[in-house]
Amino acid sequence: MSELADFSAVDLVEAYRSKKLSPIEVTEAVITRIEASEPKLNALWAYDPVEARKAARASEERWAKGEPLGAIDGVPVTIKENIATKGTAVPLGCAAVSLTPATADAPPAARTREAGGILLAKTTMPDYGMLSSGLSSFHKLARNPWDLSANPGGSSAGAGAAAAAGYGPLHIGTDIGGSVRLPAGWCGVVGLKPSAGRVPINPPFIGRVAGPMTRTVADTALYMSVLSKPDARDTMALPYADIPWLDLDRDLKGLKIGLWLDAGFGQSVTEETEQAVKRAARLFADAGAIIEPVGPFLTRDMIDGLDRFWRARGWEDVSRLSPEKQAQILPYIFDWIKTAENFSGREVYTGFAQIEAMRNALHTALAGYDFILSPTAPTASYPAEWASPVNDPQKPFEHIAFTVAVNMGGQPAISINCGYTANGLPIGLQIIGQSFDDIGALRLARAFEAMRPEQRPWPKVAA
Amino acid sequence: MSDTMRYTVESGDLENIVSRLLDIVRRLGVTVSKLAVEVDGGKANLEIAVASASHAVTNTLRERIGQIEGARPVPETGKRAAS
Repeated sequence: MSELADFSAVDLVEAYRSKKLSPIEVTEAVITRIEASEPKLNALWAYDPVEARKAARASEERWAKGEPLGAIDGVPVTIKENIATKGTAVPLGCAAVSLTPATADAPPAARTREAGGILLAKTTMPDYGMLSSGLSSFHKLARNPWDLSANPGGSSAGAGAAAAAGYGPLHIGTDIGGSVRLPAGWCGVVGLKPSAGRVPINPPFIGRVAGPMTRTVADTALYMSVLSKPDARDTMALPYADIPWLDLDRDLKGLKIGLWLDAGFGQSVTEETEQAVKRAARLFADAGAIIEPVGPFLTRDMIDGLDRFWRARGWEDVSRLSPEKQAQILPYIFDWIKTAENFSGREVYTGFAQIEAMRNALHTALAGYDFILSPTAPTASYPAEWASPVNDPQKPFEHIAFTVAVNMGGQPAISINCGYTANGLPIGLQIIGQSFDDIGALRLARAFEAMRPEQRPWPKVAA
Repeated sequence: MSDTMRYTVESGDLENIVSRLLDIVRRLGVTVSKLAVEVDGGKANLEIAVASASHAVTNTLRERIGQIEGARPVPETGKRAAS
């Protein structure tokens, strides 16, 4: 029998409906889990068990009357700290950011509350969300529950760690280059980067999305049914679509799936990761899908250009800070951003133009396929104290080749665990769907979830 | 058409370098039309020509060979060799 903190959201809602469980006892179980694990994990910020218990009592009253607020009423949730929640500051992982309480819930937080989700805490992230690491100048060092010496990845670092450690079933991260999928892959959980604009956010930006991080595909789908509801504040949002999020069955026969094992730049894929992804592809082939290799289609120029644009964007903000504030920024991030100080307009523009080049390359590569499979990251997790798998601010994006192109292309992509290294660290499989086919990517992930070998027990982190 | 790349590799472990090179070629699925390795003390001169590969694939091949420890591309002095 699973502990209550490990129950899926789908199972919790059913248990509340049938009055087998109450949101109060589930919230207490998750609080107990958090208090046992958090001293070592450092996944949370603004943890508020008092408000959570209050919300759980209100939810129980609604369920008792048979009047739940929405699809996740009474389900414990965490939200990445860069998604504003009213009354809580938004530090963006950076000690230089003023701690001013937010005046309103950002769209994903508003949808979560409207649907009855119980907000336990915000989750940690690195400075400005620009690292795939749990390293931050503001938060304590977040760690990976599978191995506390390993990195949870990022930038949705706390969310990945919290999901794997069983801090309740629903977590939400943000992703501009892989920040949901990379920590999901390194923490062995499911992480969806929805289509650009599918989940309203505020502020919107090119490539930026918010997406669920959960232990099961069905929980991700359930949370999407909540998060995808419209919000006028997102000026880049897609028109609302009534998608059958919970209809996850599909036949794989005849699907044409590309297998992408070398992105074209960045770190080489390790043998362990390549073999795990190939084993996953064989399961799809055994179920009747047609698997074809996809060669590398991204180039060094693309990531170097995007890197220049992101450095320039960062420097535009950071250059306005006083020297004292600048000194509070994580040195790795400051050293990276400061190189943009003397960029010319041409250098920044040609960098920006690589977004289009990357988008075009991915659209062309996807043209002959229903889906593409790839590693989520070229390697498994790396030391907790490092800023990236390469740990060099002048080579900051060697590990995001498979994920970043999908941000620039706008397609949906999901990371799901497909194996473990010899050291027991999870390996993520990325499934990329065609533009706007979020439900297709979820269905493929659900099919894989049912086909893959039995997963190892979730890690327990005891203080 | 073939695309020729030349590198010098400063390493005593030539066997490992050639093994990694062949692994890269296998992973990328490129057709090699020429592979020459000339050892000169602690340094090796390496030449590889691939046939009928796309621009993206040859770029990736360069990137991956460049990641072999000690490998440095030999600056091209004239037009890229083509045959």
